[in-house]
Amino acid sequence: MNTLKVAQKPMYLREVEENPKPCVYRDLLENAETSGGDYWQIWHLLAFDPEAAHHLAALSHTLMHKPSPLSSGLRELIAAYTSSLNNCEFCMKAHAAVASQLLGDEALVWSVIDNLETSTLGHKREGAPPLRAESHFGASLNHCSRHPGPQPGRLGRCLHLLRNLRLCPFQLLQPLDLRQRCPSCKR
Amino acid sequence: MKKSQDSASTGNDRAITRIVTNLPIVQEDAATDSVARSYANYRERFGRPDVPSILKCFATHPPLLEQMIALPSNLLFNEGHLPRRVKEMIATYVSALNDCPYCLDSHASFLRTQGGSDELLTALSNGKLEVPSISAKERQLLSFVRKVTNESYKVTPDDIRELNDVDWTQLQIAEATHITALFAFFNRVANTFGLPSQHRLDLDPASTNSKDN
Repeated sequence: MNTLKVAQKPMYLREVEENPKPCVYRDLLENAETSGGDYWQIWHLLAFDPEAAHHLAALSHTLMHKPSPLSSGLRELIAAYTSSLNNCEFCMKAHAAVASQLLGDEALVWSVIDNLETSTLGHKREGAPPLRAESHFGASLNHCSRHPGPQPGRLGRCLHLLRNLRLCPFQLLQPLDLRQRCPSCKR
Repeated sequence: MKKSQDSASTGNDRAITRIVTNLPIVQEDAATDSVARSYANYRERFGRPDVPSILKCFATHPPLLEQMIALPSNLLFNEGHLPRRVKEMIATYVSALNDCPYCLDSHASFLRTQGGSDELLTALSNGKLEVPSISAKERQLLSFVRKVTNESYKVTPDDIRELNDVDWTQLQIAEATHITALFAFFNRVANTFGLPSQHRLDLDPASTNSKDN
């Protein structure tokens, strides 16, 4: 049982939220409901129209996860920064959490979001490894909810979701490496 | 930045125009492998003699090209919860709000094929929506579209209720939101790559968006 579940506000389009169609996103939502577990609320949108969701998820997967001249970490950082500029807290925190995992530096992510001009991003570019990291973000989810590792700061809930679900909001086409175990309890 | 040469493949002026883009795009005669196949599939599926420049902007990343053909095909170029005409009204209006001359010209042209009058096209391109060819119900949806474009973080349940009150269903509102967001994407790509208007129509998006809701 996930004891960290936080009640989520209903969406504005209740008809969308209440009418999931048969698809993997509905299965995930039902599993979360059955187990009392947590979930990404955007799954309601994806479950509502699976055909559109397929294209959106494929688009997101192609842009964010497939090989690219930009590292996965930098792409996630761009997503978080853009979401911040667009005042979208959900997307900003979700992608900031993934970026933090990939880059191994939550402080860097926040420094970019808070003020790009004064951020430490430039220092990182000069040969430092984090922005060149190409590892799958799942490989960096080294801790389970029982042993969450360094206590997250402003990203608490999103980091919890990443670690607990081992899924980012769209990342269903390339499942995470579930063979990975928490280094503390080996689960 | 040095701009790259592009033979503008607009569907109707291929032979006469060469445009300059900010970033390189993949020309049809330079396309190979999966990009060439995607271009051929597009021409066949849509019955067009050539591929629009906006799609060439995605061809540097072949898997993305396939999805950028598939997504609008399923969301925009069909009758959905919203009629095609309303979808093209949204596409045209959002492109004007985002100051995207390429998409404005393209989708105003599509709107014309859906029966859009000169008055309607002009109203959407200059943002003055108080015209007889736009119903009060449509005007309310377009006001919502403007809010999603400019200040989506300010959308509230009251905005949804007001649309429900004039008989827009939640499914239609969801679709309008998806199309608005799709054009936020297309507009930014077209503007950043530097695609100019194809001048199928004589429309000017300038000063459309006052950012006032």
